[in-house]
Amino acid sequence: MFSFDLLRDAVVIGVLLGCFYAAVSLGLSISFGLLDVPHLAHPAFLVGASYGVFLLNDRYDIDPLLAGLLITPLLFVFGIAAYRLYYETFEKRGSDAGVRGIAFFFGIAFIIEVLIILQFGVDQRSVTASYIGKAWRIGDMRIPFRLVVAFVVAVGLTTLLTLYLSRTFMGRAIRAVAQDQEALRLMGANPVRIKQWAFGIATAVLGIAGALLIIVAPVDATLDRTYIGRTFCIVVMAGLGSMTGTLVAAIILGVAETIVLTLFGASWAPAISFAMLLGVLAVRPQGLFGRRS
Amino acid sequence: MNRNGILFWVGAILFLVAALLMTQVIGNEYPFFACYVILQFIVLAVAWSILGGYAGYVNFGTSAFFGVGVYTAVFLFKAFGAPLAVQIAAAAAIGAFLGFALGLLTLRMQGIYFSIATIALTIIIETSVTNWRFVGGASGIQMQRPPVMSPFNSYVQMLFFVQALLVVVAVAMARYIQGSWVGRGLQALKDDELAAECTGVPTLRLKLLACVISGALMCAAGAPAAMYLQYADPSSAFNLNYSVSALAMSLIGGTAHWAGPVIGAILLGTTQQLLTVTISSEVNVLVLGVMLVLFVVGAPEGIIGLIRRVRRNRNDGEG
Amino acid sequence: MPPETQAPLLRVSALTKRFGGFTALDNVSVEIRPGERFGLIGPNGSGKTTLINCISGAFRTEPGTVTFRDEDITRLQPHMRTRRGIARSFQIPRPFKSMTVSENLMVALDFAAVTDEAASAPQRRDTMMSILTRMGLASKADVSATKLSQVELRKMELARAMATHPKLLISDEAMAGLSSSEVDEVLDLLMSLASQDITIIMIEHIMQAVMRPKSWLTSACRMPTLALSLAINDLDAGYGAVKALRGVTLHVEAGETVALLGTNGNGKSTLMKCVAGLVRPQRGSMSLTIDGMTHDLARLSTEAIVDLGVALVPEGRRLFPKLTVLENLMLGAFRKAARRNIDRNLALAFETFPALKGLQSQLAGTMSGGQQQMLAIARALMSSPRLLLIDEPSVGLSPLLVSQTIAKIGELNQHLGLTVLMAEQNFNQAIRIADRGYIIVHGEIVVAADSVDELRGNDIVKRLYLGGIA
Repeated sequence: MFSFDLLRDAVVIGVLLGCFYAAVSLGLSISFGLLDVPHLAHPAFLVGASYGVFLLNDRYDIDPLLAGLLITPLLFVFGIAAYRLYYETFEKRGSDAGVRGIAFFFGIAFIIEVLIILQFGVDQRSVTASYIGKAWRIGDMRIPFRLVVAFVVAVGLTTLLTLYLSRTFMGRAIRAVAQDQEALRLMGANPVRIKQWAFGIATAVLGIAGALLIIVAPVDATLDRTYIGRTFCIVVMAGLGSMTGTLVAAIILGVAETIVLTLFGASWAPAISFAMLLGVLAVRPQGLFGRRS
Repeated sequence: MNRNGILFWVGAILFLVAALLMTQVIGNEYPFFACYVILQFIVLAVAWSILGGYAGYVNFGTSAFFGVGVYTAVFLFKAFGAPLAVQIAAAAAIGAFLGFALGLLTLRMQGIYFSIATIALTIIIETSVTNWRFVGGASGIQMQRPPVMSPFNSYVQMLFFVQALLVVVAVAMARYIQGSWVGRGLQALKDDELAAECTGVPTLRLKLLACVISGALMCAAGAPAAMYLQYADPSSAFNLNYSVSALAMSLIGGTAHWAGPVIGAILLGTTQQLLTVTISSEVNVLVLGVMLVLFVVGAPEGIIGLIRRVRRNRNDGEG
Repeated sequence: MPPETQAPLLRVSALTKRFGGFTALDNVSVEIRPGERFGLIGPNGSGKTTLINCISGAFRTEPGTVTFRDEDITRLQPHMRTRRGIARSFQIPRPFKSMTVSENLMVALDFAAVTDEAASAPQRRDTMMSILTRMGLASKADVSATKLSQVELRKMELARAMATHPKLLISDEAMAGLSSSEVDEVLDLLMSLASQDITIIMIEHIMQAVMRPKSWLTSACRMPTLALSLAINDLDAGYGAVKALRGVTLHVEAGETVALLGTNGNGKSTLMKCVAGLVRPQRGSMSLTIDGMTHDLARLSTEAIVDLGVALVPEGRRLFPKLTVLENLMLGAFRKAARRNIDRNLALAFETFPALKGLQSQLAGTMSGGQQQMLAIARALMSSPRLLLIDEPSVGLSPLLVSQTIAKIGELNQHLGLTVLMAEQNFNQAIRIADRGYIIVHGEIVVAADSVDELRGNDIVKRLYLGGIA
């Protein structure tokens, strides 16, 4: 059934969904986009964070967004540790690190997935909050309230990160570090420390992102596989390292997915992000906003 | 043929003879089920290593090729009642074609992009098959085994022997590549693609060759699985576990030598069988992941590398 | 047959290579005859390596053609060019790290040595060993490539190139980073190769290599200094109510050394600062045309101007006195492109000013005037400039040092192709190296001469400079 109303609904929902996708991809924009770490475990971290939020919400009745905030410092420390391990094992030694680095993160992703299953089982989990289940009525459109929440938080997060990366000294250093470590050393900064810090931030952001994930829809342990496609597609489309680019690319993906969903049904949805990713890699590998290196 | 070659082929023939004898002597079907899975993993790991180990391109799409092999068999059997040999041959041909297409599309990309592209391909193929009603779509399809030919008593035994044949084919191919100019060219391009190209190595051609051979073998390994399970559905045929297993078995075994994936597959395959039966399939995957990470971090050259190091130390000690 | 009468082995015609908006090669044409030893000289960024990459096939070019032995190879992939007989060594050696030295060479013999295709494996091994022996690497045959020293890596790079049985060997800065005796070693190797009917193209900026006995290089070509043009029109500038420059018009073209002459207080430094973006003009225009694009200097920040390739050696040196020589030099490489070339530029700096090498850890503030002047110029070189502005290099130096400094600046222009605009009050010294000159008095250009002779013959000049003694 094709109707303009349906299409309009799809676009609106798509935009909101896209902003949510942006929120969960921002961390990867930093770790893969800026730091060049082949962080295939990013979606697994994301799902892990959402389970953490679930735990706090389920046991202690804490609002999911608040729970996300609470686990942020934990995630920050975890991110620093993870990067340290990656750096000591791979980046320092150079050469064959490519294959092994990729395999490393792949393995970590799998381990996290299985640990989640062992702890929480294979059933889907969701959270409860006052804004989940309600919907806004605008005209004859029905917009789920939780998507609006995701939208607002996502935009806020993007703005915050963009400002941080462009206005603070540390932020600029993070943007510079993958380009030229030597020069940073000339300015008295330690590149390894900067990358560590950046990876910590990229992981910390997953606290809120994980909360949004479980707010928007129920989660299960294998969800990370779908999100590998989505997050990498967004980050590559955006042009590595651009935060606003991430937002735009995510919205494009969100709208594309929703339209396909509306017109062709749910069974084709998982392939959209991957098809777009292949398309971008084939046609314009530097992304929409990136510069050719 | 030199001494090593003769040794190898004698060993291969002995292996096949032993497999054949097993089917005649052992009546219980269970060992064949278990060994079939291990042999299948040997083929997958060896095939993976041709592209991933020799050329250095990490392919996450083993599941895609395996699943395509399964569904090629399903389609041919359902549409034409094709015999097993034809199923396998067709699967190999399609695998070669798919490998070629994948290579052409993605081999100009650097490391991680190639890997992500292979994940993308897996999901896209899986989604497409899920929407294909003729082969059962999302709910899967039941298969009826045709009557078994002599000298085999049960279909599973025959499948077991067929897979043994595939193992010999795969290992022979890997061994040939490793010892030939193809292998040296792949090693050079893995070390430094630009320098290799400027030293005369036709890098794109060699990468495509590796993709084609690797893909053909993986698909061929998947074809008998349809009959093995008597059932096929997209989520199990395209299960990401195949990708992780092939990768892990190769890296853990060691990719510098064709024996590495074999050792890795036997080791991990056996462990998997034991764990799945005794504890749970989740723990099985956990062990796989942990071992992968441990080896990648601590013993990057795999078991083969460890053996070499021990031998070198012993030689140095004696010398 | 003497080289000159033979048909060219390699012909490059109208080769152009663009990276986005940046033109690396502009309509380059070169012909190389069989048996030549051809030197390719040029400053950083003049496109030497880009040209080599285009010849060996790593880059595609449009438009332009590359013809080798009468065959158009413009569309061929690198490995096919190698098989036809073009070999190259890389600036930074690229060994196959997982292999031994002999295995590295075997790759070449297996894939590229077309003439040996019929040879059996043992025969190829013999060829490989003989190449290694000639290169002095026979004892390292079974050593892993990761365990070689810098000079051994260079030799292996050349050996591997030789193993492809080339007709044309391109050596890309094979001497960079080597000690003096190591340079001799590698040079001797190259010379012995040349005597075997192999044509050699050598890219170097190491003077030792380029200046070797004349019999070595049969011909040389300076990479055409890419189009660069500084145009200043009717410029007014000042500080508050005081006007330091009035209607100044001058221009500098690529490859020139232009002198801006005048005594102190006449506006020379103000003009230099304007060009460098430190002082904003009040009227008039300043534009720099580089690589086909014109930039309005009056609108650019100093960082942007440095990025374009303009470096200023300021009046009074302005070093960081509490930092060492090395630290001062490293800071000179702040620009991104400069950081990529930091090792090469450092080598170049030490080669141009050998005395600095021994003074690396000395605090800049404790050096003599002459040493400081050298350091100031060297620091400017670290940003890979195409246009060098030098403000009063002679101030505070003894006559001998002035003479040496001026000679050095002349060298930079001659050997590195740097375009130089030099403000000086020492007329006699300045005209030693200048192609043209302007005289500035009270902020106005009173003499614009198209040659040094014109300058010397000018009446105003005679009046100002003690009768114009040449």
